[in-house]
Amino acid sequence: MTRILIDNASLIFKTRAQRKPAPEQAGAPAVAGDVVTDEKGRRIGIKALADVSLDLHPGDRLGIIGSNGAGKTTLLRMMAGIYAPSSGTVVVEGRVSAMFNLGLGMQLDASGLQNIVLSGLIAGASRAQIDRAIPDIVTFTELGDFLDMPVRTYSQGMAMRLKFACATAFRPEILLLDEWIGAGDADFQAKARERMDALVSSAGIVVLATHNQTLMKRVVNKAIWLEKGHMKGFGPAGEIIEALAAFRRSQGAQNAA
Amino acid sequence: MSSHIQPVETRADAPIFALSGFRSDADPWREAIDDLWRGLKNVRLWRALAWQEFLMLYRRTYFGAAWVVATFLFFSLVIYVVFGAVRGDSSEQYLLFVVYGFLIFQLLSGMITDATMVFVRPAGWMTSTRLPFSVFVYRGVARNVVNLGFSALGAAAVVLWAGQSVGWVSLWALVGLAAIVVNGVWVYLLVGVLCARFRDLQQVVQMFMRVALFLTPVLWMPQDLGSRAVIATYNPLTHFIEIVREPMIAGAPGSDHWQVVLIMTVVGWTAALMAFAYSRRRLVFWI
Repeated sequence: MTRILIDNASLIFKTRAQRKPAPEQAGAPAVAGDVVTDEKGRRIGIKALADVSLDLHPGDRLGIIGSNGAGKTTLLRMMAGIYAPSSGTVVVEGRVSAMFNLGLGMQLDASGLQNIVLSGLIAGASRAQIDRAIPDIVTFTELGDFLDMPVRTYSQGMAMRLKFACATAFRPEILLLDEWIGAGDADFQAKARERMDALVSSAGIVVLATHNQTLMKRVVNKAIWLEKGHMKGFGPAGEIIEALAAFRRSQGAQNAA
Repeated sequence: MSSHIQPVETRADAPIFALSGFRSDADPWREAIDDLWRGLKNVRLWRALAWQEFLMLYRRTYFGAAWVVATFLFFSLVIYVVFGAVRGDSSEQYLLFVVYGFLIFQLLSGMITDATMVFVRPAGWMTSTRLPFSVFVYRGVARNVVNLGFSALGAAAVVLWAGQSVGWVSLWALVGLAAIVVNGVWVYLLVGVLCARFRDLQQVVQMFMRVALFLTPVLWMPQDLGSRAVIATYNPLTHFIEIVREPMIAGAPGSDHWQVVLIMTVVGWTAALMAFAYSRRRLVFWI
């Protein structure tokens, strides 16, 4: 059964011990997480995530919202098994496909087609499975002859199409998407949404971190709101998005006063 | 759920090596061994990556991988001519000594030098997908073996020209090569982990590998050094070279070299497994 269970997980990025904590600038809220200090008061790390808990089941589409540096990408990477939590537990069941930074996990000198094969190999697909998936990927990307060119020559949008097609082609059960997915054109976004819907309706889970409110509202049914690594809310998407909006309004009013 | 939706694919049809879940509270030893095993099983991936990396070095050259053969031949012939004169021995025996020695030395030093970067270079991959880290280890070993294959063509040309006959006992050289590959994996793991954590070690390893050619019996024979021949004895590279070179030249594989190799295999693997189990989860924060 596909599932993402995060129980009280924290993640500390260790830094070299520093005698004085970085001075906080007056007025400007620190974007990163809490500073972790040792018994002598030296900074030894940043708490990127603090006591995050959530439980996702088949059919869940989670949006991760919050300011820059709130821990959205860190949480996604924890779900992908890239970062292990410093404390707490993360249990993920199901085949995970993650799409973070555009260039990462691609061979820029290789052609689009070679990268498709490579992404299949990474997913562990057999040559036959890859060959079966290729026509579908080619159609989805609409890149045509460009697929014979090195990925280095692609525009952002083209690379994104290729990457998304590859990430969804080999039957993942869990799809993790970082911010930039909101950057595609309308046609791509419609197709991407269709894909995500198909995945979710076949008992999958989609997790999406984005600042694009429209996309967020269309795609997700649950949301988690992070601020400085702390969980400010987790629940039905509408409520959480509204809570964040209300929080931002009140902050804006404070700053104006 | 609406009826037009296609049935969920069975797990049997799905790619088998894809990350299918994990637990953050798994035992680190199990996780390390699991990593090594799952990485090894995805042979198609690291084979493809190794081949691509190899070809990338000769991208847009006209002669491509033939440069590997040419470089090898050029280097070993220059050694033969210059050091043959220095030693006053330009016999065919010395020529073969140099050719076999340099062939294996190139493999060993290639692996050790590459190992310093094995986890640092694919940082982008390691922070974007949960691939077994060992895939990059196997890729490195495989690329060096491919390189060896091309260099061996050059060596074979020299051997044919010299008219050396090769007997059955030379099959021991293949066993020796297998031992080198098995040891290569732990060298990659251990050196890779240590150099990812302590970047200065990269410089240390590179510094040593730069003089290693002079400390290893490739240009000279141990007896040339007289009392200083202990340099060869205490240099582990010597023994790894000899388990291949001896059966090719002298005929009988030397048991003393094999003893050293077997001990190093056991000790090295133990140390590498410990280092890898300790650092597998931390590695991503170091790169």
